[in-house]
Amino acid sequence: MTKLAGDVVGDVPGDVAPAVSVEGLSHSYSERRALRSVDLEIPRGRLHGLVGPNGAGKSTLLKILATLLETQSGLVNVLGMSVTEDALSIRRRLGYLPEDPAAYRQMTCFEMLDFCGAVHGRPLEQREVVIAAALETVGLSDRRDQVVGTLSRGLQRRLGVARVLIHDPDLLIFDEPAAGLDPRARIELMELMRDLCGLGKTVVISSHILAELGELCDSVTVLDRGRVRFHGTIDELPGGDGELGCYELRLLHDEEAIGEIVSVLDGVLDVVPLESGRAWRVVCRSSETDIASLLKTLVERGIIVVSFVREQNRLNEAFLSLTTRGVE
Amino acid sequence: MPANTAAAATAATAAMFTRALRSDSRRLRPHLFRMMFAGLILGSLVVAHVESLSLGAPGLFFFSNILWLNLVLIVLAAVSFLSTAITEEKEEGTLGLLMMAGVSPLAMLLGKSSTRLFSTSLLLVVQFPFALMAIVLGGVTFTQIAAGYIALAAFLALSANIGLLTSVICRRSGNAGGVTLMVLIVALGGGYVLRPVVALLAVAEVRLLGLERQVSTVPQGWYRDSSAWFDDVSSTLPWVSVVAGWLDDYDQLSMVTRLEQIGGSGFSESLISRGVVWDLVVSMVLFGIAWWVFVPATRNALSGVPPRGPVTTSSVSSRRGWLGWLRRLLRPRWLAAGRTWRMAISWKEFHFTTGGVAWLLLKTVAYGVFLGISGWLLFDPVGGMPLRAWARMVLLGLLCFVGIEGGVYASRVFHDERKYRTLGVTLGFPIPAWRIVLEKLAGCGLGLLPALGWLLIGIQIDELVFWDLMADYRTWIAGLVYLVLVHLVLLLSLYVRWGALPLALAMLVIVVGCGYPLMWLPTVALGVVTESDEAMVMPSIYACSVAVAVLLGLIVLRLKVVASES
Repeated sequence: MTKLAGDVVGDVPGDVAPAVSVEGLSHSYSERRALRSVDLEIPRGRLHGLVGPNGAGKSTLLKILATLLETQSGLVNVLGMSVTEDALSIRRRLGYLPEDPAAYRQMTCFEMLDFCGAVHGRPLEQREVVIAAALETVGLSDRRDQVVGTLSRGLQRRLGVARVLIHDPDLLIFDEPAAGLDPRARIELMELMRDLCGLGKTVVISSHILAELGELCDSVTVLDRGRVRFHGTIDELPGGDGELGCYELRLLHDEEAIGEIVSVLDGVLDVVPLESGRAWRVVCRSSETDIASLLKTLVERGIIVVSFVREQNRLNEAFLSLTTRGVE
Repeated sequence: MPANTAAAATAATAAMFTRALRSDSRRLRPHLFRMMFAGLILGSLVVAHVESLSLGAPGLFFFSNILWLNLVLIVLAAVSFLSTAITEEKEEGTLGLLMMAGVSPLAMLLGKSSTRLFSTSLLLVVQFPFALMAIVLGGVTFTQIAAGYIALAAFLALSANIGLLTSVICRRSGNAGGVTLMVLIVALGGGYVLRPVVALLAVAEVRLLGLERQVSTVPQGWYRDSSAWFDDVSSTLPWVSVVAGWLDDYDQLSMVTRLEQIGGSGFSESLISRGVVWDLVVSMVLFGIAWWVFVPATRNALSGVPPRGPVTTSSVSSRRGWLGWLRRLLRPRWLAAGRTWRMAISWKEFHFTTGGVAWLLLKTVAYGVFLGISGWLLFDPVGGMPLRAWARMVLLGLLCFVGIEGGVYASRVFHDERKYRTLGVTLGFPIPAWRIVLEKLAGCGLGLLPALGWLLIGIQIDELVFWDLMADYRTWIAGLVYLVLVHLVLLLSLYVRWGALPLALAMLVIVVGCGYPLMWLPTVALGVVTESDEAMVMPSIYACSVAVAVLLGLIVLRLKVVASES
C-alpha cells in the first residue's frame, strides 16, 4: 500500500493502551436491548472481525466506538481515550465507514476528499499529495474529477474507503465494507486492510462474508442478541472439536427439494442454498449424523451427488454454533 | 380507454389510496396535528364567546377568522404537502419502480393526489362541527357557513391540482413548492398582485416612448389605489384598460373576494358562487394537463443525486469544435468550487447550498437591476414618487429579499444533508456540533452578501429612512421574531421531510397570534412608564432570546439523535 504523504508517527498519549476497550457496555432503543454487558478489548495493530446475525448489535457497537452514539452504561475507551469525554480527539484519529457509504454526492471525488482532508485539519499543500495517494490506493485515480453521484455503488464504496484514509487514522472501523463490491474489488479491499494493518493501524471490520473474514482477521468477536458469544483469536475459536460439521454439497442438477429431504435426517441442523439449487451447505452434529446414510438417502432418491466436502473455515462453524437462528 | 386498462388504473389507484390511508391512520403525528387544529378552533370559539360581551356579532367575527385561517393553512398545505406528491418519488428514485410495476400515469396521479387531498380535507371536516357553533354565538347563518366551506373545498381542489401539476413538471420538491406558492399568490391576490405589475409595465412603456407629457406622473400610492391613474394612462395606452378590465373580472372570481363576501354581514348569495365553479373547472383542466405532460416530464427522473447547481467541475471539457467551446464558455473553470477553505463546512455550504460564485454574481446583478429599474420607473421628483418614498420601498424590498433568502437557506442547510444521508458523516467530523451549525450559517451568510451589499447602497439613497426604521421598536421586534423563525426552520428541517419553512411560518403565526395579547400588556406598560420606545422592546427581547436559546438546545439534541441514526 502507498504510504500516505504527511503521515505522522509519534508518541501520542494513550499509545500504549489497547485500540478498543469496552467494559459492561449496554445500550437500548426504546424497548429493545441492542447491547447487553459487552466486554471486549482489541489490542493495537490487530485486524479484528465483528460477526453476528442481523440485529445482533454490531452496528450499534461500531457507532458507539465511532462516537456517533452516546453510551448509556459501561466504559468505552478508544485509543486510550474515553468516548464520552474525548470524542473529538478520538474522531481525529479514527476513520469510520458506515454501512451506507453516504458521501457528498454532488461533489467531485477530488472535492470530496479535499473537503474531508480540510475538515480534519490537513494543510492545503499536503492534501493534493494525500488525495492522489488515496485515489491510487482505491483505484480511482482516473475518476478524480467525476461527480460522486455518478459513480456506481461499488465505486462509491471504494471512494468511502479513500475518505476514511485521508487523515491517516490509527483506528479504522468498517461496517460491511465489501457489500456491493465486485470480487476483484473485494479481494483488493481485503489486501488493503492487511496492508493497513501492516502499517501498524488497527482495523475493525463487521462483515457477513465469514469465509473472507476467517482468513483475514487475527481476532474476532461473535455477537448474538447483544451479547458477546466469543472474543479471541481465530485459533481460539470453538467448534474445532469437530462436533459441529459444516459440509458443502454439490449436485449435478438443480434440486430445490433438498432442504426437505435432508433436514429431516438425525443431527441435521440446517440446510441452506449457496448459489443455486446445485450447491448447498449442510450443518449437522457429527456425533448424531451418519454421513453415509445421508448420502445413501440422496442416491436412493435419484439425486446425483458431485461432491460432499467438509468446509475447513472454522469461523463458519463457530458462527453457527455460537449464534441462534432468527432475530429477537 | 379500454375496460381492462380502466380496471387496472382503478385497482392501482385504490391500492395506493388504501396504502396511504393505512399509513396515515397508523401514524400519530397527523392525528395530533388535526387534534391541535381542532383545539385551536375550540380555543378561538372560547375567545369569541368572551368577546361576545363587547362585540356585536361574535359568531360572525369567529367564523370569519376561521375562514381566513383555513385559507392560510390550505396555502401552506399546497406549498409543502400537495406539491411534493410526485417530486418526492422522483427524488427518492422510486418513480421508475412504480412505472415498472405497471402503475399508469393516471393511476399514479389519482392515487397520489387523492390521498393527499383527502388528508388535507380532513382538516376541514374535523372543524365543521365547531364552526356550526358560531350560529349559537350569533351574527352568522348556516348558509354562510356552508358557503364558506364549499368555497374552501373548491379552493383546496384548485390548490391541490396546482401543486400536482408543479410536482409533475418540477424535478425537485423545493422548486415545486416555490412555483406553487407563486401561482397561489397570483391566484389569490389577482388584481392586487397583478395591477402593480401592469402599472409598472405601463410606466416602462411611457418612459421608453417618452410619453411623460401625455400622462400624469406615477402616483405615490400606485400599488394600492390607482384607478384614476389607470384611466388616465388608458387613454394613451389602450391595452392597459383591457387588462385592467380582465383583472376586475378576475377579482370577482377570486377566493379572497368570496371570503370577504361570506365573512360580511347580511350575506344572501347562493351557496355555490361563480368562483367555486371556476376553481373546480380550472382544477380539472390542471389535472388534465398534469396527466398529459406526465410521461415527457418524468422521463428523465432523478436518481437520488443531489443537485450541483451552477458550480462547474474543475475538469476542462475535452470536446473539440464549437460544442466544446460553448461548454467551456457556459461552464467556465472559475465557477468551480476550487480548493476547500480552512472553514471547510462554510466552503461546502457556500458552493452547494447557496450556489457559489455563479449565484453570487447573478444575485448581485439582479438586485442592482431591481434598484436601477425601480428608480427609473418610480422615482419622479416632480409630482411622482418622492425620493424618500422610493428609498423606503427599496429598503423594505431588499430587507424582504434578505429575509426570504435567509429563510430558504435555513430550510435547506440540514434538510439536504438529511435527505441525501450525509448528516451522519458531517456530524462525525472532529468538530463540535455548535461549530458545525455556525460554520454552516457563515457559509450561507456569504450567499446573502449581494442583498446586504445593495442594502448598504440602498441606505445611502436617504439615510433618514434607515434611521427612522431603526428607531421604530417594531423593526426590532420583527428582527427578533425573524431570528426565532430561522432557528425554528432549522429545527423543523431536522424532523420533517419537506415544508419546514411554511410549517415554521404557520407555527410562528399561531404562536405570535396567541402570544401577542400576553406580550402587549408589558410592552405598553413599559412604554407608558418609561416613555421610551427602546424600553418597549425589552419584553420581546427576553421572550425571543429564551426562544432562540431553547431552539438551539433542541437543535443540538436533535443533531445527536440524527447522527446516531445514520
